[in-house]
Amino acid sequence: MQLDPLVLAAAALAASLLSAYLGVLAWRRASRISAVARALLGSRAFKLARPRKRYMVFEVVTVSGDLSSIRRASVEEAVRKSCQLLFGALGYGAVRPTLIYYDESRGAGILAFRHLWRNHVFLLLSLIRDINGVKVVVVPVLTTGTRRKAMKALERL
Amino acid sequence: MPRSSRISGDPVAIDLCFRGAVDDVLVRYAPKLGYEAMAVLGIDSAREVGRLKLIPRFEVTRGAIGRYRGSRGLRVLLVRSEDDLKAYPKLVGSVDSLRVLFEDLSGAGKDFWRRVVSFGVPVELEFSELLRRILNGNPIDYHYLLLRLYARGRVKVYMCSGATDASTLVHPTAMFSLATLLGVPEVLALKAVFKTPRELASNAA
Repeated sequence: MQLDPLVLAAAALAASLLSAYLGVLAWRRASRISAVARALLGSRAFKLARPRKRYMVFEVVTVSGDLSSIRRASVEEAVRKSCQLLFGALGYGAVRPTLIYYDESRGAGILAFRHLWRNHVFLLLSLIRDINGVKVVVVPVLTTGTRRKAMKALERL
Repeated sequence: MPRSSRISGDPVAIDLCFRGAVDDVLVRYAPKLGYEAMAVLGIDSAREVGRLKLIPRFEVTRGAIGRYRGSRGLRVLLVRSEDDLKAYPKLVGSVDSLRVLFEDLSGAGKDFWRRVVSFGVPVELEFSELLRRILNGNPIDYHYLLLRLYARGRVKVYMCSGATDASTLVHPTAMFSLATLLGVPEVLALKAVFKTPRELASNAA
């Protein structure tokens, strides 16, 4: 008996698709089992999050007073004081908020910090009410993962 | 936190306790900080100034509840003593939220907290007061207890700034951050800052 080559080709294709499907199923089950095993062995507890840098674009909005009298150094000092007041020396060391750029004419800047402390940075910025005798509100605008994106956002501001 | 990394943009939050005068500076900066509406003490009717909606806020004592029955606005019951929540079922429908003045409260026992839970209206937590107490080294045991009850789903809590002028306004994410740092899960912290105030404001407007 001679089989039609078209039928043979279709049967081969169906068999290969089925084996691929079964392979995916087996892989998914195996990965699930290994995840459960790793969780049971507690390996996740030892997995440490690598601290990555985040860049926050912020704007200093003056409520009363002149924006031009706010210098970069005074913004840095306000951030440092606010962080130390809230989280102490140890917290300051962990958060490490660093003012990497500040445009004095526009009152906008970029603050770098460790990604694990994002919420802390929001809180410390809300504490800054006065810089160099000028009443201000610090408005966080955007958080990015790269300095380049932060600079772009600052240009668009 | 929401996945989007954009923090400022279209106003999305509602501040339910502003205790100052509404001036141009506030109208300009509140939307910039993300507020679309504010409940303001001392105004009689809702109105819109620029991009900011203003809702009347009434701080009501237990003795004066009758005067505010049927008023359009946010009616907040000030609780100064344990007696203020006695016979609380009579108050249902007369107030929209509770504000416990922990400084005046001499001691809040289990009965008091049971009444707060059973009353079922949202409890107000003021960011500026909470932060002031933390920075001054005053105990925040009751605030913490309230947040723990909230995290367990026993009471509803919402957070507000407690600002008195534009310079004391805080960004909504700062309130969210404080709540999470005090142990509230992120989903519930978001609800306390964004969702619950929105529900209360829509009922009050």
